[in-house]
Order: sequence, then structure tokens, then C-alpha cells
Amino acid sequence: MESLKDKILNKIKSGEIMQKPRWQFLTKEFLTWSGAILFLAIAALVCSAVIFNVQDIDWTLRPRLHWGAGRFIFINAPYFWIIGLVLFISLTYLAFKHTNKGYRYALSAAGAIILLLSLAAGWLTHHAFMSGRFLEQGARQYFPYYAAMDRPRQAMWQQPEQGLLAGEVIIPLFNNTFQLADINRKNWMVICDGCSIKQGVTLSSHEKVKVIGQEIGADEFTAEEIRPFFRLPAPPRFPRFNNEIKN
Amino acid sequence: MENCIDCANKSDEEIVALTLKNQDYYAVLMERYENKLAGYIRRISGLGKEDVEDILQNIFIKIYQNLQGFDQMLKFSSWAYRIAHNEIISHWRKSQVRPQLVGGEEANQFLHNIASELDIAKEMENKGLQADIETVLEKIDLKYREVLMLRFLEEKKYEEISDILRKPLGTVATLVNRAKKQFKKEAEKMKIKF
Repeated sequence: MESLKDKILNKIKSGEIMQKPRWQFLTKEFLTWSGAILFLAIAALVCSAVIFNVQDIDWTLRPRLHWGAGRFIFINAPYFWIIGLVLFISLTYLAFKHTNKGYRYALSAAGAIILLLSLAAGWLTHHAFMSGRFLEQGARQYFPYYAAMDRPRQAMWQQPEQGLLAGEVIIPLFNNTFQLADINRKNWMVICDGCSIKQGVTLSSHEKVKVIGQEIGADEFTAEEIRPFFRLPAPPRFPRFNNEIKN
Repeated sequence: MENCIDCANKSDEEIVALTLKNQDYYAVLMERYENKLAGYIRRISGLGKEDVEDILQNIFIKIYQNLQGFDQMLKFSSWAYRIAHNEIISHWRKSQVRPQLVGGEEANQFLHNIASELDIAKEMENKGLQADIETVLEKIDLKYREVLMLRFLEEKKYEEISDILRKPLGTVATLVNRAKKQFKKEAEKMKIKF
């Protein structure tokens, strides 16, 4: 009777059993690493959005609103980006775990390293390119559910009775007055008579701003201070865009 | 290949390198691992001789097919056991056969190895030893049972178990500890004294 060893050797010699080529294993490993690096890069970008949002929190508003620190953090936390960060860190870990040696690293160690790398790369891209602000603006503009998720944070600036108002300039500043459409698309006549206008605010059409002041009528508001919508500066302009503007 | 006089002095990894150049050398690897893997399959799967042979054949075929992907940084035995482990799990999931576990001389070896670790009374003359070990192991989760087999029957190091099961070293240590505790607890619960 044919032994198991001979049976298999005969199958190998007859070509019934073939070795998979080495390139298949190398390609699989390459794709797995590429996936891990791609997910890590996305995690870093999402992390820059978290950093941007955390830096954008205006702590000076807390005493004005008479809110406790817990409530203020709860309302201002960028949940959308935090969930995204957890998701992409998990995907990075899963891809890494499927590399040849990835299984040797414990979840805690690999997770901590991935988080640190995301934070470092996120911090770098945030400072170099303001990538967090790009993402934040992109999400507001192109992702309708984002605005719905972000509503509690936005609602903080929809309290004219508390002296807080935010929205888009409809009619630019003229004779110390400009018109503003708030987050609920209600139009306000805002009076800026000697008010403080923060650096970067031009009060031109379609500009988004935040106003601190006093409600003086059903659709009238006196501004004490006008701030840009985002506290952090706009992303740096690249030469190509500057040329386009000049032209 | 017929002239491979010094094959006995070569390591598994060297034989793998030779097999990649000449397929005949694969016979040496099969000879070395036929009994080891057959025993491992039998102990984990609880299958009869024919089924064990079928699984073993699949394992050897998979090892050969994937030989170009063998990572020379690993021990060949760990890699072979990993393929065996996956094949057994896959077969076990398909058939849902209850493992019959260790028996005979293996029961003694298993008990000898685990006794010192568990600090349990060791009565090597106990006639019901084989049945007792089977009874206790049957109550233990499959993941713990397998890790006990690898550690105390196959006598694998933690690093090797880590490579076989594709789990971090710390997880393997935790699994072994929990498995020992569960083994001892089940033995005490069933009032079985070793």
C-alpha cells in the first residue's frame, strides 16, 4: 500500500500539487503593510481635526454661560472626529496584526504606538498645513450629517439672550451695521458701534463670524466683539492660489 | 535525494531551503513530522485513523503549497504546527466532533508535566488516570485545552506557542495560566485527585 509520503510526492511530481509563487506572499504582505500605512495616515489626519477642534474651544465663554467644566467639555467635545480616530486606529491595528509578525505585539502595546504615531503625525500636519481645519470645513460643507451631529456645539452660539450669536454675513458692514443669517437662517441686524473686531475678520459677504454682545430687539443685536468663526488662523495660502487671486 | 546521507544532520530550515530547489527533499520533512503531527491531530480532534490521515495529507499539501511563503525567521516546526492548528480548527468547525483527548502513555506524560506546575497531588499509579484526565479536559474550553496540550504534551516553549497560535507572548502566558487554573478547578469540582 502506498504510504502517505509517497502519495504526496507522486502528486507533487505529477504537478497536481504546485507551490504558490513567492511573489504572491510578497504581494500579500506588501498590500497588508500598505493598508496599515494608509489607515495610519487617515488616523493622523483625523487626529489633526481633533487637535484643531480642541484648540478651537473658547474657554472664555464658560463663565458667561455659567456652565460647569463637565458640561462645557461634554458639549464641545468633537465626537465625530474622536469616533473617526478610534475607527482608523482600530483599522490600522487590524491591518498591522495581519502582517507576518504583527501578531507578536499585544493590543495595548501596538494600540499605544499607533495612537502616538497618529498624534505625532496629526500634530505635524495640523501645524504645517492646518489639515484639521481643512477637514472640519470639508465636513461642514460636504457632509450633511456632520452639521446635525455638531448641532449642540453650534447651538452654544445660538443664544442671543445670553449675548452669543454666530452665522454668515449676508450684507457687508456699512455705516457700522451689517446683516447676519444665524445658524437657523434667521436674519439679524448687527450694530457694531466701536465694537472690537478681531484680527482676520473682514465682515465681507459669506464670511462666517461669531458675535458677542447683547440682544436689543427681535432681530437686532449690538456687538461688543466680533470673532472669526474658527479661532485658529486660516490655512496658509500656497503660491499657486495667490497667483490665481492676483490674476 | 537518494544520496542525502547527511540529511539527518541538517535542520528543518535547511531542508526547506533544499526542498525549494529540489522537491524530493520534501520527503525528509514529511518523515520528520508525520508522527508528530498525526499525534497532535489525534489528540486535539479526537478523530479516527483514517480521518487523521486525511487531515495530515491536507496539512502536508498546504505546507508544500505555501513553502515559498515560509518565514526563515520562524522555526519550521512552529510554522508547521500553525498550519496544522488551522486545519484542525477548520475541520472541527465543519464536523463539530467532540475531542477524545489524551490517552495511554500520553496521559502519564501530560500529568507528569502539568503536575509540577499545578502543585496537585500526583498519583502516577492511579488506574483511572486516563479517564480522569479526559473527564477534566473535556470540561475545559477548547482554547485552554489546546494551549495545555501544546505546553505540557508537545512541550512547546511560550515563544513557539505564540508563533503557532499567532498570539502575543503575554496572551499565551495568560492563556496557559487560566488553562491551568481551569484544569485544577474542574478537577477539584469533580473531586478528582491526581
